[in-house]
Amino acid sequence: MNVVDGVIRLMDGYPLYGDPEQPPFDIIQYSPIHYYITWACVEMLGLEHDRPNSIYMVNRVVSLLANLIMLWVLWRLGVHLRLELWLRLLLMGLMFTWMHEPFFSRPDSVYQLCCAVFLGAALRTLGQGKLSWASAMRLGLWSALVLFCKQSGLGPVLAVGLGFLLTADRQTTFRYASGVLLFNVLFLSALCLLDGWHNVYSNLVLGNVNGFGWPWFAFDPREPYIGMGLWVTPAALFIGWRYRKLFSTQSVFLFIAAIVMYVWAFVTATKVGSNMNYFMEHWLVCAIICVLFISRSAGTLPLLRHGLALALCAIVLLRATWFTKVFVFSGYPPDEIANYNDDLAAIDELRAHGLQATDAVFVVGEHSFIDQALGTRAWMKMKDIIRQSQSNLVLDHRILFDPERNGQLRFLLSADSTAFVKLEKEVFTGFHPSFRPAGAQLTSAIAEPSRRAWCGSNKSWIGATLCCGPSGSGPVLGS
Amino acid sequence: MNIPENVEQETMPERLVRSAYRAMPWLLGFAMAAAVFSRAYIIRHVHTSVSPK
Repeated sequence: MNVVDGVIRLMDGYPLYGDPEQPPFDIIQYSPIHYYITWACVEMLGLEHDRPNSIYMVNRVVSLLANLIMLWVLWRLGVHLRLELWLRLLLMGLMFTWMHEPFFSRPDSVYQLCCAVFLGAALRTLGQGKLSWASAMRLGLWSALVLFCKQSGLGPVLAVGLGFLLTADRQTTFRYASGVLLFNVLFLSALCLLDGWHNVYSNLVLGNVNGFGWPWFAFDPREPYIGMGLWVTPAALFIGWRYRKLFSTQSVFLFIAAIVMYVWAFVTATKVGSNMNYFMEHWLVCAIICVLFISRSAGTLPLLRHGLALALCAIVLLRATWFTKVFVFSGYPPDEIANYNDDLAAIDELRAHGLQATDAVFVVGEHSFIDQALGTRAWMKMKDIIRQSQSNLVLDHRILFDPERNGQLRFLLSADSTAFVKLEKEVFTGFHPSFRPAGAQLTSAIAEPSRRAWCGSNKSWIGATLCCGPSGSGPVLGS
Repeated sequence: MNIPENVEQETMPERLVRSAYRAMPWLLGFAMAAAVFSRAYIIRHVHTSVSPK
């Protein structure tokens, strides 16, 4: 959802990375490439965010297309590695079915495509002996694309660098490092010129300080180790080292890359809010090691070879079954469309009760379509990020509700008739309703008489105007 | 995959392995088609996330 918010910023003419402590208080957590691609598609199609589901659709199409192009890249890589047809399919199947929800509408899909191209290019150069300057520049460009799709791309870039350092000559490593530095500095300079270095730092670095946690590893081993195939890690590392002579020059490189990426993924996945998607680059290397072993060990080691092939095929079949079961047969609750329509109807009601084109709105609660339909006029949309943030961003919520400093904020919406606004440790109360649907009960202690509230639709959205209070009187919703 | 020159001399386990390898491209192709279809299926859904609640 937060990815769509970034696209909406661009649609409304805002820079992608703004000051998170100023209206509309957005925090964009990821590098820019996916946002710009999706925004370009949305602009070409002439879509508006007043029907936000259309942006979700474009976002999902971009992600799926990136995944399909990645499959083509893996096919080409399989041809280069002289893999048999079914092993190429196995490699593609593993990667596609491992790409779970975070790859459906987030920067991870384009990032993973760039990672596959980057790793494929690195593998190709290993077979060519010394790295030419042209190849080094190509690798540098792809490394910048990887990093500017997602910050965690630093792991693969370092892994390839370490691989070159330990398996190739110094000149190769120097040229690779030069290409990486050149293009990443160029990209970063362009981004800072565009949006300002302080804003880029605030969003991409401080916006990701979410605290430490590791539920993916500690509490339910079925998810990471069985469901997502993390058991492949020890298998690939064992094979990559024990049978390294089977793969010639690529073996040590792949082994090093797999270890570095595993460590990197493990560290980055301990950020609160992260997911198993951080292991996908590592899994890509592991999958390449496994299919290379199956291909090169034909005629030898029948038990290990057949067992590994059978297990990997079983993973693809099970994951594909899971996809189909969850997304086609389980489906979605029937009230989703009703909720969507209620959210949009709430905005129409707000307009009927005085919402002007320059007014801003604060929606109580997270993940509402109202936020996106209003675009940058909805302030502090990313409450989940702010809730998780361990940095000092947007902690003074009184700024948000201070009519002297934020005179544009006129309306506040809540789906709960007894709602109050709780942001971090502060609770804002004092709410006077002026209209609401039949049956909705407000138990409010009345605040300033000039403030008014609104309710409507099946979701019972409740609204209040904010701008009319006396200076310094503070925010208004609650009971 | 290794296909012996004289298939009649294959033992039963060898024949099973060979059949399994021959079936694999079809199985993998079908599984991937189903997964791609599932991804395409969710594109039009109205939801802020992609996971069913």
